[in-house]
Amino acid sequence: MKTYSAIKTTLICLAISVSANGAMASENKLNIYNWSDYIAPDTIANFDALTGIETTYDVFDSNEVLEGKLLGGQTGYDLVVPTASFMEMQIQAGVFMPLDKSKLKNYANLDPEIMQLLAKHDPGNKYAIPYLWGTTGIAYNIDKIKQRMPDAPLDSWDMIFKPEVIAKFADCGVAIIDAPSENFEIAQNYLGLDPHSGAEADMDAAIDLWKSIRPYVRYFHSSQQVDDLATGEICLAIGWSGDMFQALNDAADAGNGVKIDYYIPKEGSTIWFDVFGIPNDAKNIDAAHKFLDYTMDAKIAAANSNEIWYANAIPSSMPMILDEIKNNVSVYPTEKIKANLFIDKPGDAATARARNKAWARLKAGS
Amino acid sequence: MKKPLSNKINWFKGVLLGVPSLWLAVFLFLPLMLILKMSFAEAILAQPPFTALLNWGEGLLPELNISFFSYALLIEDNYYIGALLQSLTLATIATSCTLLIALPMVLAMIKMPNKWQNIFLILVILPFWTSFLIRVYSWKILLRNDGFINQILLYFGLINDPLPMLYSQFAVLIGIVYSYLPFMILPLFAGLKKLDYALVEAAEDLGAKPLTIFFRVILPLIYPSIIAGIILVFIPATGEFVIPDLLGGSDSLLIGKLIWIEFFNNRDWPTASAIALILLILFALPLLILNKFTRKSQKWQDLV
Amino acid sequence: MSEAQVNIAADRKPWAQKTETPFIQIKNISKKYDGITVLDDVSIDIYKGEFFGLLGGSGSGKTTLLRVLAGFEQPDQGDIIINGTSILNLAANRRPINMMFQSYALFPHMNVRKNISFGLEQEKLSKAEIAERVAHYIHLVQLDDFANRKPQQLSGGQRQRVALARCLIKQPEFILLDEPMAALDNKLREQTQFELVALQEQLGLTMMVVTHDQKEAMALSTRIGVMQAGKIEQIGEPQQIYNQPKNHFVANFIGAANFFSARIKAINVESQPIAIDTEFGTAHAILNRFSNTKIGQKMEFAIRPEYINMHPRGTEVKLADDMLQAKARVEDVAFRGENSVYRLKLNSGQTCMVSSAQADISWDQEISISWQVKHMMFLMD
Repeated sequence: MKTYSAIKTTLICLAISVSANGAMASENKLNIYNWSDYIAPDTIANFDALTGIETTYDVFDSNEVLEGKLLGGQTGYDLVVPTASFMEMQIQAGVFMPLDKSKLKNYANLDPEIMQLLAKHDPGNKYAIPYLWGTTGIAYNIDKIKQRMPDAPLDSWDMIFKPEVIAKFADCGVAIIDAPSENFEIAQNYLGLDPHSGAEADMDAAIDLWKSIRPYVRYFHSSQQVDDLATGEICLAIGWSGDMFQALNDAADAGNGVKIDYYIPKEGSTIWFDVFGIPNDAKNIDAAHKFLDYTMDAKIAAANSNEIWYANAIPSSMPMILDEIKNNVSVYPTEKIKANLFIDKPGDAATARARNKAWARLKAGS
Repeated sequence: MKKPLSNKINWFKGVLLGVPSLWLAVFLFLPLMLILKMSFAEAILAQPPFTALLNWGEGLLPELNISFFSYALLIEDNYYIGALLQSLTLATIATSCTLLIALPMVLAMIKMPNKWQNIFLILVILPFWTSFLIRVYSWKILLRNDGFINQILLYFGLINDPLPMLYSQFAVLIGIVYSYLPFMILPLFAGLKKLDYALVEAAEDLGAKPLTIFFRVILPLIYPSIIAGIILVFIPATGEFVIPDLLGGSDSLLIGKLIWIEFFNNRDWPTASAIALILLILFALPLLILNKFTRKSQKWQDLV
Repeated sequence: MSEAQVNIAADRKPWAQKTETPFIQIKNISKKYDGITVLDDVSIDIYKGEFFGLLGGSGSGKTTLLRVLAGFEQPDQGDIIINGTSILNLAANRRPINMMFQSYALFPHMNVRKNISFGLEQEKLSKAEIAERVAHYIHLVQLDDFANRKPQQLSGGQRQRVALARCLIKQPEFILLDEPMAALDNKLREQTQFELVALQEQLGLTMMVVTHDQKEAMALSTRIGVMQAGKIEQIGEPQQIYNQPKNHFVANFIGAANFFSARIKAINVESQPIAIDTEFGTAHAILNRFSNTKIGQKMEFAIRPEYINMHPRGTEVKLADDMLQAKARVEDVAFRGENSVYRLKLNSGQTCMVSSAQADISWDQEISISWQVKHMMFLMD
C-alpha cells in the first residue's frame, strides 16, 4: 500500500465525475488501473508481446481515488489494485466479480500463509489476487534519535507510546500516519487488547493512549512524512513500509547527510496487501485472468519486487529476488515478527464512523 | 412568406438567454439537485453507496424514501458545528488579513502612473500561471525548519533555533492569504479605478485627513468591490481543504477535511452532501439578503 | 459683512497702484514632468477681492498651476505666498485655499447638505454651528428645497451651486475654480457668470478661474493671465488684453484678428510717433512698450474684424490722415444675428475677416476697406 498524494486528492472529485474512461471493450484489449510506479517497466510490454493483448495501463495515487470511481460504477477498467482493507468494503458493496480460478494455472504459486491472512478481508479468497504486500512501522532519522536518546528502544512501539520517550523527540518532529483504523489497531494491540475490537472500552483505552502522547506529535498525515523525513524536517514517523523506503532512498540520493532507517515494532503491527480484483462491469474478463496468471509467474513476480522493493506473495520467486531485498527484515520480516503481524480491518460502518470521529477529535486536540 | 424582423430578434434573444440558462441548468442546477437528493439518502455498502430516493415496489406509484439521518447526524453533537465554527473563524481571520494587505497595496497602485499599474497588475496575476499546488508547496519549502525564512532569521541572529512554522495555523493562514490575495486585489483595484480620484482630492481640499478621506469617501464608494473581494476570499477559504492539508498541523478540524472524512473514510456520501449543502445555504442566504437589500436601497435612492 | 464695507477690486484696480501689496503672490513657479517643462517661471500677483482669470489652451499649464496652488502638486522651484506667509509646505488639506473641481467632484453618496457640511466637519466646530452655517450657505445658493437630494438627482446648474457652496462655507482666503462652466449649456452659462461675479463681489472673495474659454475669462475676470506652453504671456485687464495684446499669440488667442506684416521706416526722436511701413501705406504710432525699436526692423500688426469699415466701390470717402485703406472682394458672408462676418480677399492676396452689421454688401462684391491707425495693434515677437 502506498499513500495518497496530497496533490492528487484535489482531483478526486473531478476524477469521480469523469469516471467513465475512454477504455473500450474488445477481444484483445485489457484496461488496468494500478498505483503509479508500481510495476517493472517491461512487464506490460512483455505481457502484450506474449499474448497479443493490447493493454491500456492507467495509474492512480490513492485508495480514495480508486474507491470513489469503483463505488460510482462503470470505471471501464478490467483490473484494479486496491489495498485489501479497502477491497473488503468494496466486495461487500458488490463492486467485484468472483475470479474464475480454472483460468489461473499459476494460482498454486501463491503463499498459503498470505492467502490465509487475506481471507480475513476476502472470505474464501473469491475476489482478490495478492500483488505486493508490506507493513506499517516506524521510520527515524538515525543521527537525531541517537543524539537525543542513545539507548532508544529502536525495535518497539515504546518509541511512540511511552510519553517519556517520545517527549525527547518532540523538538525534532514526530509525524503519525492519518489512518484512523490502523492507529486504533496498533494502539489496542500495544495495550494487549484485540486490535480489531470495536468495543467502546477498548477504543477508549486506545484513544487515552494516543492522548497521552498527542502533545509530542507535530502532525498527522499520510504522505508528508516521505519528504519531511528525507529533508530532516521530522525525525520520527509512523508510516507504511513502501513510503519509508522511499524516504530512505530520497535522503541517500539528496546527499544531505540525513540517514533514515525503518523497523517493524516487535509488539506487532499491521500487514497490508495490495491486491488485484476484477470490477463487476469489466468487459475483458479473459484478458484480465490472463494478466493475473502472468503476474503469478515466479519470474514476473521477482522482477516486480526487484524493481520496487516490495515483498510479493509468490514464494517460488525468492531465489530470483535480489539479496539486499530478501535479506532485509523490513521487507521480508523474520518469522518471529511475522507471527505478530495482523491485518487492518476497517470494521462495520458504525465502528468506522466512531473511530474516524474520535480520531479527528484527537488530532484537533479536543 | 418572409418572417417579420421582430420574430427574428425574439429568436436571437431566446438564444442569447437560452445558452447561459442551459449552462446554469446543466452545470449548476443539476449537480446541486443531485447533491440535494443524495443528502436525503442513507449510506449503504453498495454501488452507488447510498439508498435510492424512489422505490419502485409493487404499487403503481413509487415509494418515496427520504432519510434525515445525515442532517440529524450533523446536529447530534458539536463535532460538525465545532468544525464549521473553526473554519469560519479561520476564514474570517484570513479574509481580514487579505483585506488589510490588499487595501494599502491597491491604494498605492492606484496612485502609480498607468505603466506601473499595469506592471503591478501583471505581477498580481502572474502566479496564476503556475499551478496552485506548486505555489502552496513552495511555501512548505520557505517555512521549513531548514527553509529560507528560518535561515535568514538565523543568519541575522534574530533567533537561535529554527522557528517551527510549518504545520501550524500560522502556516495555513499564510497559505490562504497568499493564495487568495489576488481575488481581493482585483475587485478592489477595479472599484478604485472606477472611483473618480477628484473625489479624493476634493475631500483633501476640504481639509480632510487621509483616514477621514478613506473612511468617509473611499470606503463608502468602493464597498461593493470590498464585499465582492470578501466573498471571493471568504467562501473558498471556509471550505479550503488543500492548504490546511499541505501546510496545516493537526490542531484544527476544518469543515473541508470533515467532508473528505465523510466521503472517503466513512464512505458516507449522503452526509458529505448534507454538509456541502448546508455550507452552500450558509453562504447563499446572506448573499441573497444582501442583494435584496442593496436593490431596495437603490430603488429608495431613485425615488427620493 | 455689509455691502458698504466690501472692497470691490474691480472698481479700485489695486494692481494699477504702486502702493498696494498683493494678497497672493505666485513667485517664479517652475515644474517639470519627465523632463518636460509644464510650468516655466510663472509669477502672478493677485490682490484681495480680485477675480483673476487664467486663460490658456490645453497643455498650456494652467491646470497644473491650479493644482500647485491647491497643493496637489509640488513645484520644482518658486514659492506661493498668501498674506505674507508661504504656504508651499502646507499639505492640501491645510491650505486656506479651496477649489471647485471641473466636474464638481461632489460626493455621490452624500446628499446636498452632507456635501456642503463635509468641509466644516473637518474643523473643530460645534454641531450647532455647523448646522447653522450649512443652512446659511444652502440658502445662499438657493438649494433649500434640495438639501436632502443626492448629486445625481440634481441638474447641472444645481450641482455647480452645491460645489460652490461647499467651497464657500470653508471661508477660504482664496478660491480656485477649474473650468466652472464647462458642464453647463450656453444659456445657463451666461446667467451663471453674472451670478458668480455678483456673489464674488458681495462676499469680497478672492478667486482664480481657470478656463480655456476667452469669453468666460473676459466676462468673469478683473484681470486675465494668458498662458502658453507653461509661460505667462501677458497679464492685464480684459480690455487691455483685447486691445493691446503683447504678441501674436495673445492677439490671436483672444478674439479674432487679421495679421499683416510691417516694418519700421523712421524713428523721429523729436516727435514721439514712429513711422511704420505697411503694404497699405505708412502709419504713425507710439511704440513705447518696445524697447529695441530700430529702423528697418520687421514687425507685425493685427486688426480686429470689428474695427474695419467696408465701403462699396464708388462710395469711398476721402481718407483722414489717421486711416489706411485697401481694396478687396467679398468671398463669403456668415450671418450671425446681431452682425455678419465677412471673409474678404484683399487685392494683395491675403484673406481678411470683417465683422459688421452693414446690410448693403454681399457676395462677390468689389469693395474698399479702411481702418483707423489707432486700432492697429503693433506686435513684435
